Amino acid sequence: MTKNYFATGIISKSSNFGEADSIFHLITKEYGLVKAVAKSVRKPKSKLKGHLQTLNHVNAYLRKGKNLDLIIQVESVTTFKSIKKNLNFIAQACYMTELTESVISEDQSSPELFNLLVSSLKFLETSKNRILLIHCFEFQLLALSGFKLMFLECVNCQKEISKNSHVFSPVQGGVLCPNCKKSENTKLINLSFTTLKILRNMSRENFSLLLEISPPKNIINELSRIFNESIKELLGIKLNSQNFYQTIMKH
Amino acid sequence: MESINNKIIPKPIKNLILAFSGLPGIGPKTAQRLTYFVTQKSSEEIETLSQALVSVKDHIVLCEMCFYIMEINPDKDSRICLICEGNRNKNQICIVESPLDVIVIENSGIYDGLYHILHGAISPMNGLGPNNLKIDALIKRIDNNIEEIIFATNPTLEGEATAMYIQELISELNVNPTITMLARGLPTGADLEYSDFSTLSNAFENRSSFNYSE
Ligand SMILES: [Zn+2]
Ligand SMILES: [Zn+2]
Repeated sequence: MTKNYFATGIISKSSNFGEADSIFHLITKEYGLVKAVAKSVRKPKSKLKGHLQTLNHVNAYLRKGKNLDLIIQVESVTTFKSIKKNLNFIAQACYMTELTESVISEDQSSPELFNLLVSSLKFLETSKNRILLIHCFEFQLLALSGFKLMFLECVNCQKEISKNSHVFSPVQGGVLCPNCKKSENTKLINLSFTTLKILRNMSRENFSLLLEISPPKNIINELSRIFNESIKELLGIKLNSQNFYQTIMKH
Repeated sequence: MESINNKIIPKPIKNLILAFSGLPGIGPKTAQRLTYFVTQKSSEEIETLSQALVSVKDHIVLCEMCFYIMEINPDKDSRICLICEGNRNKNQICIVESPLDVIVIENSGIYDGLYHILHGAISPMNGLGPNNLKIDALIKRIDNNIEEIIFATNPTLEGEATAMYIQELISELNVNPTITMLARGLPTGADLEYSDFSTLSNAFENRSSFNYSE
């Protein structure tokens, strides 16, 4: 009994398999993470391979297999050409894609995660200002994964936080009031007023506003630290593409 | 691979199947076929095979200049390969991902410059960054004598990201070589390793200047 199905997804990874086959990871809207084989795809005559490039958004027709599914037909919806012409954008796109792959489950439809990734890649490709894109992406991804960071009230006692208590706990996933801060024995990060303002706008989902501003370098560094630590503590993962992203950013 | 856990398969056979499956291009079925082939050979034949395997590790090193694979010469201290030593156009460097790409290009006879083998391509999601490749050594090779640098990395996201990264490093040097890349007669995503003669020679002849910076 064979079972064919259709899926739309972003290609996140590929690896060589067998004589000329490759295995692809697809972050799909309908079935979460799908791992599938494409036959003879490394030969120049293959009609599939042009579409099966890392970061392409594709429509694929697949056959269910015992271990791995088989890619029968595929066509690209978009290849994100402008992203692929710029090393900095490639680094950001790879980071967002790998982060999505690390939280998405196999065989479980995750349209919200898929849509977040696609809209972020589109934004990366088309917009002029991308400075806060990664952090808006991280905030939303954490929220979709069940770890909504709290910036409006104390993560511990839910009391509204006062103007001068700006400390963040990555383990708790939110800001702490002066009272709760005293008894907290995990690592804490001090927040500047501007950083907190940005984060509170994230909590209010003012993403379009945030994507228009260009905060200075020291604020970006604070934000990077907050999200790096939160992802490490809450999701318990270290991403491969993060090193590359940091190398390119320094460059 | 459920068959490998089968109790009726003797342990030495399982071990060999596992060892073969670790090789590139070998799926579980081929690994089993190779293993049964080995069991049917004479001890002498297997001895020859295993000697050849060990000898590769003992006698083959990477060229210090271009990182192509070469045989160790016990009479010489330097480890410079036949291509680098040969009578070739030393003003051109062709950058490829793997030694197999050199063999394909050499067999076509369309190029007589030097090479630089990166031993991979930047693949952020697989944890392969610039530091995992022979990029530093490449940058050190580039001086005013180099007139042309040809990117022959694969036409994939990874191959092109690698070319862009290296191009940025070269632009920071105080040199001015022509930078080209193979014409994309090669279909997007195809491995250089698999390209035929006419496609490859077209790609070389029609190589175009390469500049990604905005
Ligand atoms: Zn509190
Ligand atoms: Zn050499």
